[in-house]
Amino acid sequence: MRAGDAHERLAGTPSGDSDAKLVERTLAGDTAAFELLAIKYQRQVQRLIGRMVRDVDLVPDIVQETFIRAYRSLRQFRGEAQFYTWLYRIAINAAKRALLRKTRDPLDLPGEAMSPEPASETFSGRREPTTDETPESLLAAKEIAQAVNDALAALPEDLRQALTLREIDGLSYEEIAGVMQCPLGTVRSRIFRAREAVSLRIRPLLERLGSKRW
Amino acid sequence: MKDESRQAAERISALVDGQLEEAELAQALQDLRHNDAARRSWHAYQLLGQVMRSGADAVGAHDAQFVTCLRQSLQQGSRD
Repeated sequence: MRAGDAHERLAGTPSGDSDAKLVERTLAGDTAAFELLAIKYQRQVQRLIGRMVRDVDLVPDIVQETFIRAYRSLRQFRGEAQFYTWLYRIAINAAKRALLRKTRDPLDLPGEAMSPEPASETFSGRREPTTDETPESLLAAKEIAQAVNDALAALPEDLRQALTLREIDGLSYEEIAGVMQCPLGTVRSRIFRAREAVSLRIRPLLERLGSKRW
Repeated sequence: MKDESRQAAERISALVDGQLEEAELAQALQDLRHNDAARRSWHAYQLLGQVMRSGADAVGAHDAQFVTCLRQSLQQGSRD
């Protein structure tokens, strides 16, 4: 998958409301809210940068630089685009700067003389995709995806439908309540119970994965 | 799962969907700030949604060290 494909696909994910609230809380001084955004998008940013930068040892520092720049520039985020779209542009620019620095000075590292991100972010030009994934990590990813699908298939119909309407169709709780003809509180409870049932299946796999280099 | 933990996890699920009002949002962030289990739930809930939309490409471990380093950098930056 190319970087542009990821951008288009992620722009359609039902995460906008959640991200906007977390951005708002961060701007109000709650750094824990920004950490949640970092947990949420760390992997996607890492994959994006991994495709641009051929030196895998540089990736973690560029990911870190991306989030620090995003945090320092957050007041410039006006919510006209999805948060991830904005973050994606910062990540691309951070990767380009790192590549440029490496070209000028092979011993230089990301993060030097870091200034807030300019308000106008643009990205252009693509490199061929590269990844730092090992056969082992790819296998683990498939195993986890399979566990998610198996757990979803085993859910009672009402739980699976509520979660699918939310995650795939991007409906709000209010819209799901209308479709399923049930109270809002029931929608919230069904989605939670569905997530918890699936999570129970994948947590041991994630913990195993977390103990290895990814 | 105990009632209190269950309520906390349900709040996090609603937070994933951006469906919390201010008071519950503050409580959820408080849980996430102080509770590893809450952070693991946040990660797992995010991940399963991403897997539903994108398949195995979305899978990755929660890197607690990354978040710790980021927190230190942000704190350092705010002191400078």
